[in-house]
Amino acid sequence: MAVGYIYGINGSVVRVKGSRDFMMSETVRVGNEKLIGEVISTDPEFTTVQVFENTTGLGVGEPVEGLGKQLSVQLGPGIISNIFDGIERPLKDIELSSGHFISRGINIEPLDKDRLWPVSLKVKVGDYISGGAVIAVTPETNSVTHKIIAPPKVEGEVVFVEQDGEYNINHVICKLEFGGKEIPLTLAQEWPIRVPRPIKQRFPASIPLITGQRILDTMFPIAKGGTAAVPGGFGTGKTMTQHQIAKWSDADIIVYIGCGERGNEMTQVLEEFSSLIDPRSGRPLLDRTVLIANTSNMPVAAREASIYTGITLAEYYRDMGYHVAIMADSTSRWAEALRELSGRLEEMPAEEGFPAYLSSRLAGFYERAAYAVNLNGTEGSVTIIGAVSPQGGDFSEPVTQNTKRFVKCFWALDRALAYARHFPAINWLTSYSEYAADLEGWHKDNVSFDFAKNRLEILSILNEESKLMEIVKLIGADVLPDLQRLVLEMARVIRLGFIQQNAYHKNDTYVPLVKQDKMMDLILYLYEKAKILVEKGVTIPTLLKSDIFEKIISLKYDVANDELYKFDDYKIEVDNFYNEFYAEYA
Amino acid sequence: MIEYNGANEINGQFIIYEGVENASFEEIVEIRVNTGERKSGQIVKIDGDKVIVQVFEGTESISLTNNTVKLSGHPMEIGLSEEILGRVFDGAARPIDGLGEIYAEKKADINGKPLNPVSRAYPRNFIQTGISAIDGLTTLIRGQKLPIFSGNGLPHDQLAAQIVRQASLVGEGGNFGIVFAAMGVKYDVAEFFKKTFEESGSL
Repeated sequence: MAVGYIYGINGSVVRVKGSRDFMMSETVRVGNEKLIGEVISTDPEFTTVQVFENTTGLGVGEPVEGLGKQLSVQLGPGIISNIFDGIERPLKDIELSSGHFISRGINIEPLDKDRLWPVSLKVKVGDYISGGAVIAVTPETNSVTHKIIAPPKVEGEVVFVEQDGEYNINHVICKLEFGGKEIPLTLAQEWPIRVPRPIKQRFPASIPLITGQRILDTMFPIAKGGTAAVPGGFGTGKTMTQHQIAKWSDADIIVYIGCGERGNEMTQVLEEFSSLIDPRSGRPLLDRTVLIANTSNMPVAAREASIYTGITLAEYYRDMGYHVAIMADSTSRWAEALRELSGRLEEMPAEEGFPAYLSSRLAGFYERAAYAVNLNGTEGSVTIIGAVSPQGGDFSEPVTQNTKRFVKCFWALDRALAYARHFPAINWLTSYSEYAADLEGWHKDNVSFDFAKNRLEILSILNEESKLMEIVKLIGADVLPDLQRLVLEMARVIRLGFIQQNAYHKNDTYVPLVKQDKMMDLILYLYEKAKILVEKGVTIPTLLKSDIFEKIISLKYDVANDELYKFDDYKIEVDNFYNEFYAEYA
Repeated sequence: MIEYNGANEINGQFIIYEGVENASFEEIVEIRVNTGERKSGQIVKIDGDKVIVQVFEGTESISLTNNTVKLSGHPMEIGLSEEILGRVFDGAARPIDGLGEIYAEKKADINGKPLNPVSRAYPRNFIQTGISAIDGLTTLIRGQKLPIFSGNGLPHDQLAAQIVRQASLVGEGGNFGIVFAAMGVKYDVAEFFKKTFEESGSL
């Protein structure tokens, strides 16, 4: 192992002299307090190390010791429901060992090595297995079955299998023989965080990640294995949107990375997720969630690593055949960490001080999202939803712009909507989803034949409204022809009754796709009928005497998710409205 | 403790010393100028035996030869005891109200340590400021932060002072203290704060 000594210190960047044996990305222990660091560059004279802990008080001449392995995470049962810091140290165990404040140089194994897991083995002596093969399974939480898979680069003939029973993560449950060498396999394995875990094949996106949020699922859908960015200035509801997706999306596992955000937000996630019940499994949401916290006051280098730690954990569960969704809140803080480190390294700054490699780093992160056939033949996916916090809400800054290049879904949060108390404050004119076309087939087969058509009609009404509003601003709505005033009225119904969604209302916080489709259907049906009436000469003020518009707006609260039969009553009401007005005025 | 004679380079508020051994990062140093003046500074960068010191009191009257520097061996610490209540300090925690030194019961590193997110309780209670626009609409939650955005010519000083005068806990008791930091304010503003707090008994 390489051993050197500290020569220079500049914030979290430490220059090391005395050894030429340090490897790139090697984990090192820095100084007498053994702070954790990672090698980021090396030349004959110096090795440069970024330290994941506060370097105050570190002295020149103190030893730096290489551990001979890349910065890695430990993968095995015990990850789910846990909360880790940016380099996979368990925060609950840190609290036990060092109290409410995080001390430095703590050396705690990521996973509990004493806990016994009830393991049932899935291989037998004589089997020939290779990377990704499921060796054993254990119930990790009440909602997640953890499959112990062979590490990707391993293969061989099984020569020993442990009996079913309760074992800790370091117990050898299986031995392989390959080329005359014996390979012991335990419940846990390690993987370097900066290297994507291998897969057999990637699929294009074709299945949606269902979030139960109408503006997302219907208007701007995201596919499983896709990428989305949620940009928005402060106070626009980025965190709330992320929380809603983490709560309600149909992913099997949620990895939530709190990256440079407020500590109280992580506390909120911890509290809410342990009490909220997952509608699909009936168990607390925390049973399928992993939290990674590097709050704004935790060391900046670990923030840079936290994103990679999170995605490596996600890929591990994907390899078991699960659909994983990652929320990163917020990638801007991560980019700022990059900028801070880059400044300390005295690299040439590019746009707004961010390093020139910002876009390739962002690409490296978002490209790890995939819908894949795993090495063991199962299908799984990693979906990334990254929040972006552009300063002053200005989307032309480098992080938003570069992120836009690599994501296919852009949910632009709008301050004006947030101030108008329109939530989720996702602007339907500036947002887009390139998955909408890819998912058309799925929607046709699984929701309804007209789903894509309805979606386009709703969008075109909203677009037309925005065009008409230009005129209305100048000369008022009264001078518009009645057909156009009807468009304005219908757009209002769509905005209030469909796009706006109340996260605190039990019927509205989560809405299944079928109900979303029926709501669209009904709104368009009303539009169609009202249009005929207007064409027959019924004026808008007359039409508005009917309460049908308000009724449809409040339908989202009045019809529970399991009362879809009520839509037929609503349709009859629309018919009644039509017949009544037709008879009277047309 | 070794003292080092003479600086290598002085630029703005920074002094570079060479030949310094055993320096540690963000350590506090004491600089003695031969005019009898003492200044303190902090090591902000180390490169081998070369250290860069940021001087808190400014580098005026320091030349390359007229000073010595002494390492303290620890990062910036301040002395704490119950006596600090009701006192006024400068940015380096030295009393400036003429009431004498603080007898420190313990010393604390001002850099602090990050609070473990697991150890936090989610904030649910609030601090009453007695200002209806704050209490009613943008409540000051205990354990949260509430910035006051302002501009030139607006009465943010008065508002801040009013909050300090009136802030209190509602409901169950508990100890309540206020730390007021005025950074980069004009002399008369600082005097205004001191006077208001003295008059209202907040100090």
